[in-house]
Amino acid sequence: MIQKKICMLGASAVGKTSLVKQFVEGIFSDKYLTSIGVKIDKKKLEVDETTVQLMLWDIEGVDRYAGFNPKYLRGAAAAIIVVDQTRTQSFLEGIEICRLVKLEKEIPIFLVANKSDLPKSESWDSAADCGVTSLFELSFSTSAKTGEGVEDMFLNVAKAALNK
Amino acid sequence: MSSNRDSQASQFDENQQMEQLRSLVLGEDCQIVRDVVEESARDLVTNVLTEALHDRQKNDGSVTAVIAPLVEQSVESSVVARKDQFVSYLYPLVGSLVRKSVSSFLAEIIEQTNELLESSLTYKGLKWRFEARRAGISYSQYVVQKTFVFRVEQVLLIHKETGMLLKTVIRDKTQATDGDMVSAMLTAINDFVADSFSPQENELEQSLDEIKTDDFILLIKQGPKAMLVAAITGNPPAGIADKLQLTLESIHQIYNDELNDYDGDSSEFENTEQQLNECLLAQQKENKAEKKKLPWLAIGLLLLGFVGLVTYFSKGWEREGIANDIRTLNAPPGIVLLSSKTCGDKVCVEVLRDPVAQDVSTWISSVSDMDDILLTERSYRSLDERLQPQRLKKVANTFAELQFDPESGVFLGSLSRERYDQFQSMISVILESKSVQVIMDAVKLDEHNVSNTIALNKLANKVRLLPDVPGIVLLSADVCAESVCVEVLRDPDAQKASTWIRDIGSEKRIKIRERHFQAVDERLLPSRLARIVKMYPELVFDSDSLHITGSISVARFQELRTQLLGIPESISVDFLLNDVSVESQSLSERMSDELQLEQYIYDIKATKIRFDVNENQLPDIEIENIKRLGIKLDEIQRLAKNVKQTLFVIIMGTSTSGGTEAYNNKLSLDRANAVMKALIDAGIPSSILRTTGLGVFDRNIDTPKVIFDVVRPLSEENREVQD
Ligand SMILES: Nc1nc2c(ncn2[C@@H]2O[C@H](COP(=O)(O)OP(=O)(O)O)[C@@H](O)[C@H]2O)c(=O)[nH]1
Ligand SMILES: [Mg+2]
Repeated sequence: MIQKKICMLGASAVGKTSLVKQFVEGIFSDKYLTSIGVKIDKKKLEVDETTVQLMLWDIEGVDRYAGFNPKYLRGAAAAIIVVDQTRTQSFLEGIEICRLVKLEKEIPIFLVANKSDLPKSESWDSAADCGVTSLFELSFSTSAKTGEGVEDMFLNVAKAALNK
Repeated sequence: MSSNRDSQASQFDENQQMEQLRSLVLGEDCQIVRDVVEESARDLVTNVLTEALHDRQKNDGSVTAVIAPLVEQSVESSVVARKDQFVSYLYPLVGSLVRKSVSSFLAEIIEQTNELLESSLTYKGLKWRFEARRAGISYSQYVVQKTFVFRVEQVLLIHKETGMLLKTVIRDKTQATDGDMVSAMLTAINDFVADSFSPQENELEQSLDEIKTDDFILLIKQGPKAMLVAAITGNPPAGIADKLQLTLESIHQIYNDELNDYDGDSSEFENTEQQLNECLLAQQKENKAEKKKLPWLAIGLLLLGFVGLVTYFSKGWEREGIANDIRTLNAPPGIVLLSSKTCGDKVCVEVLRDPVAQDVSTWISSVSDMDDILLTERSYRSLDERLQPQRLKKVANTFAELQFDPESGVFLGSLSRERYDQFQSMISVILESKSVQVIMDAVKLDEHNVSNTIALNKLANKVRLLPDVPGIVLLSADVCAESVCVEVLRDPDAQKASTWIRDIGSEKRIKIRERHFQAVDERLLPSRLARIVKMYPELVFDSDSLHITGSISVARFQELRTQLLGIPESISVDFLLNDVSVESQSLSERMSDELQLEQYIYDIKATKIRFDVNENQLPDIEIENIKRLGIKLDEIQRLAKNVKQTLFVIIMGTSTSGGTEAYNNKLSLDRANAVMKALIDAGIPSSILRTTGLGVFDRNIDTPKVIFDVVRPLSEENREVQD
């Protein structure tokens, strides 16, 4: 079995924790969340006949001003940047985080526009349409609430992590 | 004159030729020659360089002065450039040096002794005295237990960069700790600590080496590429840290490449199991009573002497072999080897030994006789259950008035108050409090009927001896009140615990407490798979071959597959599902309907019914064409209904040029109507037919005809939404 570390990043309340919960049922206590700023879950997947275990690092306290501990990126095979499509600001913050990640490490970065069950913010399309998609390996639209697109997104990330 | 000029000219030519020749042979500016000379000079120098350096160095020592700074500089710059790499090269080396430094050993002993002294005076000391009294054992015994009992419960080897678990070994397999998660969390905590407390730049990163909780200690050893973590209950001595250190160093040495190139595949570290297992130590150490009375000075002197010996050791290479052999010997129950190394002309062996264990000399005899050995033996109390019979036998000798059954470990009989208390305190030292209770339950203060207790004890013992079944782990089986209380962990897919104990007979007297856990056991696969497949009545499961057969819809197939992927045992889900066919007919049927429909519509649009010029009657030769068209129209009606579409067929008459526009329009419409009539006669409902006259459609065409189009205003589905 192959194990891969994946980092979940994004402004707060975009739905990182909810996405991971939707994908795996939480195993580790939330206790560490506040104290050290990271919550870890794992989930096994089957990708082209190989079993991969994703270690999902849900990294808290990431916003434009606070930043995050870059050490948490160590050894990661991919990063997922989650943004909230009801808040255009979270998209801009996602781009900023993407820049920080790129400074730190050369890994595939995925953009996830979450809360697809809710209507997009008005300025969303104009913000999302300014040629930043090339920063990302792939983009996805998900809803942690209905589960739409979640499995597919993680599967694609796992694939990319394997073929790194 | 002319001849002279000639000869001059020829001489000039000659010079020029000579020049050319020279440059051909020797090269421009004699480059070729210089090259040759240089090359042979290099050969010449090469031949004598070493000797020359040697001679010069001997003459005035100036070579060192020239070369040393050069070497220093280049070493320095390459060390700076690749610091991490150097550290990892040097790590095993440096590690062993550090380990050999005796000071840490000294510090440990002093610390422990200080703890003893301290605790006899402090609040803790008073509390211990009180608790010792209550437990019915001497204070010194209690202190010893409190100070030295420990057990390594789990050892984890963790990849430092990724935080992934490379390998773990667990003492108690039922203790389902999640090694993957612990590893990742520890790494995260470690990063956090390094970041929060790291003081100055360039200083070694601050890192965790111990985490204490109420009920265990995590001892963490950090190497450049991996960490070794031991979860320990009780109070571990420093020997454990040494052992971890050694193990980590040797893993770095052996697995250097694998650690560098780790890409998430931990199977390469499977073989570290042996090394990790050796760290699963368990001891209940006990200082000899008299040792406690040793004065400080004596301890100091003893240790100094020891240090002296250790420092003194120099060329004991031949002893190294024996020391090594002893290290690789399997220790019998109750003996723990702390160290075995050459010292002077002897091999210094340091062991912990339980008083009831076999002699150290017997154990070592296969490797060496005791003449070559300088033995330092310290008493300790082993937790090894294999020693229990010996211990109990010792008790049985002291309490000859009790009946003792060595097989079940049960004492029967009655004792006077005084002897009863004495007995209890002796047993308490040997067994855990739970088992003490069992034994004490069987021994009476006066002459009571004890047969019931004996029977229950036997029953409990029977439960303990039940054969292992997949998915059930026996935690305990003890006499409690009037029955036997059995505690088990049970996987939901395992057989019922009551079925499991049925063979014993007296089910009524057994109370089962069951806790759920998830076992990983291939033998549970048939019942796991059966439970899952049961939720899919359309499938058949054969529990012998583990075959699943039948057909199932796409969505339910996905659902089933996800469920199967959740099974903890390693199975190839795709192999299991090999014989399950997925019902995609409904999907592909619709698709083939759509394709056929398109094909017919294409045909219909290409159909032409020819008319004679100036005629509005359908020519006889076209009857056959109309018939074929009728069949196609029947088909598209059927298909359109299947795929929920509405269609109209437009029949378009045309005419050739010539005549007035009004005439031509009418003529073309008449032709279309003639075709429509023929189609209605052929059974096509008029509701889907529309006619129109196009008049002169194309001036270049001289055969008048009727052509067709098929329009789909809006599918029914769309219409519903729009309404
Ligand atoms: N409607 C909707 N709400 C969501 C979705 N994902 C997360 N939320 C909500 O957004 C809030 C923040 O989510 P959380 O997972 O804690 O965000 P985090 O800070 O990025 O970990 C919570 O109230 C969630 O219930 C989604 O896909 N749809
Ligand atoms: Mg969160």
